[in-house]
Order: sequence, then C-alpha cells, then structure tokens
Amino acid sequence: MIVRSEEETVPAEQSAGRHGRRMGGHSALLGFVERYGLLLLLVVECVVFSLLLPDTFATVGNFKSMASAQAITLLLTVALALPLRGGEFDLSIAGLMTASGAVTAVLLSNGVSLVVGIAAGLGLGLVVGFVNTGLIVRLGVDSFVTTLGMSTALGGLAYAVSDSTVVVNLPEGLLALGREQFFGLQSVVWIGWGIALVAWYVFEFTPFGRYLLFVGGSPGSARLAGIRVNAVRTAAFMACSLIAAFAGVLLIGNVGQMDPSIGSQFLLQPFAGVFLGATAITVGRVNILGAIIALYVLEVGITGLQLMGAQPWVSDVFNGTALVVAVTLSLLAARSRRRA
Amino acid sequence: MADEATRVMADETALHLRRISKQYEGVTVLRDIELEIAAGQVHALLGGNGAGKSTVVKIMSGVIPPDPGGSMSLWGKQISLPVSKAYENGLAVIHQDLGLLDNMTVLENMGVSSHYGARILGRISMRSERRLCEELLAEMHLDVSPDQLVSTLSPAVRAGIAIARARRVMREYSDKYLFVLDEPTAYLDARESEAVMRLMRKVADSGCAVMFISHHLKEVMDTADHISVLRDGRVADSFPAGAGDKNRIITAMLGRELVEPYPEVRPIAGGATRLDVRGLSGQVVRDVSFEVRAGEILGFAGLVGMGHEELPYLVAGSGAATQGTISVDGTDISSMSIRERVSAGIALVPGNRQRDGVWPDGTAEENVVLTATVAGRRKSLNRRGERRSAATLLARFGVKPPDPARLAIQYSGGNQQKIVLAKWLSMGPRIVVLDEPTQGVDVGAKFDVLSEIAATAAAGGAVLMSSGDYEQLAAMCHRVLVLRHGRVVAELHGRSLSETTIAAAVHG
Repeated sequence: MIVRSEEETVPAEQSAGRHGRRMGGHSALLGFVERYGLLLLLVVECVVFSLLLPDTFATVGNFKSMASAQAITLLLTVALALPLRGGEFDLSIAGLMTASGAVTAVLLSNGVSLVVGIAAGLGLGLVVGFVNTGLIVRLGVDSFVTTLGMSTALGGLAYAVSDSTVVVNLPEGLLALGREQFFGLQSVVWIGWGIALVAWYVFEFTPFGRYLLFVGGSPGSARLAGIRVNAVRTAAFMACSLIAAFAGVLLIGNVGQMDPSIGSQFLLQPFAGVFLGATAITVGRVNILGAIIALYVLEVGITGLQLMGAQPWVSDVFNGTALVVAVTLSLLAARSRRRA
Repeated sequence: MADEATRVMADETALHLRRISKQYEGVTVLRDIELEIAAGQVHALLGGNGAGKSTVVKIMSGVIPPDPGGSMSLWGKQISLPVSKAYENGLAVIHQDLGLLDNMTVLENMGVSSHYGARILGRISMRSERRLCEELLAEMHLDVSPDQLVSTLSPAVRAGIAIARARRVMREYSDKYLFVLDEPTAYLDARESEAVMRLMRKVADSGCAVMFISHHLKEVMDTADHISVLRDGRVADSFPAGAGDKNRIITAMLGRELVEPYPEVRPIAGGATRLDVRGLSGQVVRDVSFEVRAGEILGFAGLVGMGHEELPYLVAGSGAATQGTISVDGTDISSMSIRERVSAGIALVPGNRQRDGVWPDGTAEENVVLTATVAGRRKSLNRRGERRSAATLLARFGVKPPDPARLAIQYSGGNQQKIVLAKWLSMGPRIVVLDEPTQGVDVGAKFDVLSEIAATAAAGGAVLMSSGDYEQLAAMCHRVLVLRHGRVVAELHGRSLSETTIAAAVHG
C-alpha cells in the first residue's frame, strides 16, 4: 500500500512548485474548470434555453417557479449531505418526509393546534434519527440497507396514517408557513436557502464540518486524535432526520394537501445533487455550494426540456442519468486528486 | 552465500533491463535504468521513498509503459515493451499485501488466479486441485494442509503460498521464474522477517531468481546476493553483497555519507516521574508496571503478539485496560476517554499509519492542525491561523514539499509519518507514545523522525516507544522493557542495553 502509492506521487511532488497553491495539485486552469465547471454549465443552460425559449423560459415567473419547485428538494439535499459527508448513506429521508407530513396533516385536519401538529412531525424525525443511529452507529449495521428498509417502512406508515387518502383542509397557519410570499418568493424558498446557508457555514467553517470529513475518511485516526467519532456520526444522522421531517411539514404547507404517494419522487434528486455537487467547488468532497448548483443544473435542464415539449418521463431519465454521471464523475475527481 | 548448484546456473540471466526511462508530464522518474539479475540470485532493490523502486517494478510487470528506447529480456528472451502478460515469460510480482483471500483455505487460494484449472463455468475437479496444491506446497517445502484457512497462517507461510500460487499460473508457460517481492517484511517482526528471507533463499536456490524491495538494511545484508540501490530515478550503486557494507548502501541511498545514523539522545536530566503505570493488564499485557521520567525514552520490545505492541494503545486509551492504574504527573488518568487523555497531554503515534495516522484525503494542513482543532474548542475554524501554523510545522518537520494544500495521500510514506509526528508533537505533549515510529520510512526521513522524538524527550517529555527494530531501540532508548506473553521478562539499560541483548531477551 505505502510503497505502491509513494512513487506515483513523484511527478506531482516535483511539479507542485510550478503551479502554486490549490487543493490536490492540478494545473491552475484545470483546477478552475473543475471547480466552476458545474456553475458554468448552469449559466450555459440558462443562456441556451433563454435564447431558444424567450417567451416561456426567460421569464421571471419561470425562475420563481423553478426556485419554488426545488425548495423542498434543496432541504432534503442539505439533509442528505450531512451523513454523506461523513461517508454514510441515509435513504430514509424521502420516506421520513412523507411520514412526517402525513402525521402533521392528519393531526392538524383533526383540529390539533398548529404547534402540536408540527412538533409531532418533527418528533417523528427525532425518533427515526434515533433508530437510525442506534442501528448504524451503535450496532454497526450497514447504513445503506438500514435506511433503505426504513424509507420503505415510513412510506407505508404514511399511507396508514392518512388512511391511503389525500388529506385536505389544512389550517391557514400551516399554509402561510409554506406559501407566504416574501420579496416575491415563497417562504419555502427562503427557508431552504436559510438552512442551506447554515449548513454551508457548518461544513466549511466549523470543526464539526471538518470532523465529518475526517470521520468519513479515516475513522481510526479521528478516534485517536480525540474526536468523538460516534457522537459526530450521531449528530449527522439526527440533523439529517430532523431536516427531512421539517421538509415534510413544509411540503404539505406548500402544496396545501397531503398525498401519501408523493415521497418517492423526492429521493433521487438529492442524491444526484450531492454527488454531482461533490465534483465542483471543493472538488472531491461533499459540499453545500456544489450541491445547490447541481440541483439547479438539474432543475433548469428538466424545465427547459419540458418547456420545449419533452414528455414528462424525461425528468426521470434526466435525473437518473445525472445521478449515474454524478457518482462516476465524483469518483474520477477524487481519484485524479489523489493521483496528481 | 550462493552454493555450488546456484553458481553453476549463475551465468543464466533471469532479467536484464537496459536503458529503461520514464517521464511523467515532463518530469523524469527513471533515467537509464540498467539492472541484471542472474538465475539463483536473491537481488535486493533499495532506495529512499520516491527513488523509483515501485516504478521499476511496475514497468517490469507491465502496469505502466516505459518511455521508448529501452529494452528488457526475461530468461534470455527479448520482451516487447510495454510488457504484457509478464507471467507468460516467467515473471511474477508479489505485492506487499500478497492478495490472498484470508477467509478461504490454502487450496481455494491456490487456484483462484487460474480458474481452478477449469473453464469459467466448467466444473472444478477438486481431486486434481488438491493434488496440484499438495505438489506446489511440497515444491516450496511448506508444511501446511491444503484445508487450512489462510488467516491462521504465519506471514512467512502466507508469502510462500502467494509465491506458490504465482508459480502455478506461470508453469503453464515456462519453468523458469523470477519473483519480485515488494517490501515483503515491512510489517513483520524480526523472526518472521527471517523466515521470509529463508523462504526467498530457498526459492532462489531451486534455480529461480528473486528480487525484493526492503528498507531493512540488516536483512538485505544477511540475505541478498546482489544489491542495487536507486536514487532519484537512477541506479546509484549495484554490487555483489560481499563487495560492500551497510555504509555503502546508505551512501548510495542518500548520495552522501550518513555520519551518525541515529540522533544524539541526551541523558535523563534527573527529571521527576511523568508517567507511572501500575499493574496494567489488557488483552495480552499482564500486570505490567513501570515509571517513565521527564526526558526519558523507554522502549518496548517483544515478538508479535507478546504485548509490547499493545502497550502504547493501553496508555493512550484506545485499547481497553482490564486492570491497573496509569498516572500522569500524579493524576490518575485510567478512567479517562481518549479525548481527555489527549488534553492531559498524551500523544499517540500509531503503528498503522494508513488506518490510524493520517486522513488520506485531507490536506497536509488539515491533518497537521487537527490536534489544535480538537483542543481548541472553538466554535469556528481559524482558517488563516491554521494555514500559518501548518506552514510553520511542515517546514519545521522537514515535510517535502511543505505545501499545506497538498493531500496527505500524495505524500510518500516517510513524509506522511512526519505529518503525523508534526500533528502530535506540535501540541507540546507530556507523554509521547509511539508504535513503530519509522515503519516504511526511508533512511533519510528516519533520521529526521527520530531527531524530533529525541528533541521531545530533551524538552522534558516522557517517551514510550514500541518497536521490532532492536538496533533503533538500543540507539534511542534509555531503557528497554522486553515482554513475553504479556509480562515484562527483562529490563535492559546502560551497558546491558544493545541490539544483541534485546534480541537475546526477545527470543530467549
């Protein structure tokens, strides 16, 4: 291991001086393209679709609706980024969102007070986070399989709670939480950006954000350095579940009803966003800015194609392909960084 | 060293490399490498980290193409470059991890590289597999049953099985084999290393040729017939083992003479007891007591599994002690967590660098400031301060290149170890616990690493050092405790402390 990698590093070791400082050791131009390529893609998408569709795409209304459409997904993306930065999967986010939405919706439509209803939804998030960490962190069960099962179970629970019907007549207060307009945008959009901003700060500027990476990348040395590895992983899963549960509450407030079948369409984009995002900004690492840009790349692409008359199935093909491309690219990016 | 039989075959050439060069992105990694290995020869390939050893091996086995212009022949046959299917021409590379499947039997391992003698969906004939396996084991003089699990075997036997397996793949094509072993003894203790050396000797004596890479000069001097040393991508020296000594190797490796291979260790300045361990027991360690004074370097030696390698982790708190007390400057730390022990001033430089020492995908800066980050209890990171202190630390510990933004994995083993040391020694520890501090570290970097350890002791730290390198223990330690079956069986110091007395006590 040691020897096999050591001599691969020789060229970069010697060329490092020529290119100055950067993460990993590419040429400056290549590094720039790698970091901002995704952002560039977003800009190109916007320009191309604006030229092709000046009347439908290039309108303020369209951009507002794209922002609203992505607000809940953005929350889930941030939630997912927490455990993934620490090297663990959490597939239960979509199921949890649906279940917490269902619990809150049913309680509120039965006349329970707004605060109690929302607290119950968030409470479900805490319970799921607690179970997830108990199994994954304490017992060491594989996170992918655990949360896959959890997601399916929670999706079923949503049907049970809502009696397999669409729950309507939600109180005004909840609708205000999800729909109220501020500066021309719905409250969910602002909440999504706000939480993303907090997560970005935590990831980039706090010890916790770095410990997450450390714990994911080298749990052994993290432990010996005095990092409470299990506490860090627990915190990541708990925060993830809490945000996902909150997304459920916001979702029903925004849509104005609770449809238990809604959850499944929310799982793929967060994954595509996080993985694709890891190929930009801080290349090779799960990072929030990259994930947000990736999410908008997907949304703008799909919206543009649909406005040009593409069939609805295009979005599935687009998202699925994007996820596969994203994991491949992030693997290649990480590998080239190691090599260089 | 070579007996009559091998001398007769010695005019046959197993490998001949001529003018092999390699550039990566305009940087020369290898330049005009000439290498000749005779049949029956054990050939040692040495060089500092980054000298080009692995690149040579990769070119020989076809993993990477050489630059045009060179040539290579195997067993007298010209090979077209880049090499494809080296094993068809009688060359097998045995990597350090051996590539054995631990939870499978010897028999199952033996056939895995050759489809068990069947087509991919064909039926495996277990009878002929077994016969073949026994035959190969006998050829290698390995006394193991084909049904034994590989995980239960000693490292030397495992190496033997890896060689036998390679032999099986090659024998369909040729009856002359050159085995290349990449650092076969890096993680082995003295006795196991000797067993591997004997194995290589046996293989070579049977008419094959063996080339191995090693950082242990002693085993090289004891075993190799011919020694080649690489430095900066060139063959700096190549000579028959009888024609030179250790100093000739070191001079070739460093390009200069290393006057004193070990740093000066100051006598203990009569300091107070820093670390007091009483009746400590763990998994293997049984009822061990010792004191370490400020400024003292205490060594631990023993065979693998005898407890000396467990002690550092018990003191640092990552291994669970079942009994006993550990006090630092009079304060009992036995029930403290790792984190609390770190803040109490205990630093652990672990033996498994890849797993426990560095975060490979983190930058040098992120790795080196970690202890400060953990100790800092700050709400947010002070990025500018980190960059500054990282730059200072990398320079002070002689990490090359001192680039804080470079990923840890991009550094060579020796430089990674310097990063780990910088991480821990920068926190000004009261107690430093080291497990094999110079494992996989080349001679030049080894001196730097040991100098930092000596400096920490001189500054009043108490140092514990566990190692299988007796020469190093004798040179660096004020006292050495030897463990057998978890108990201290000898305490060596002053005149009674030397490489030979340690070896005698360990194997005694």
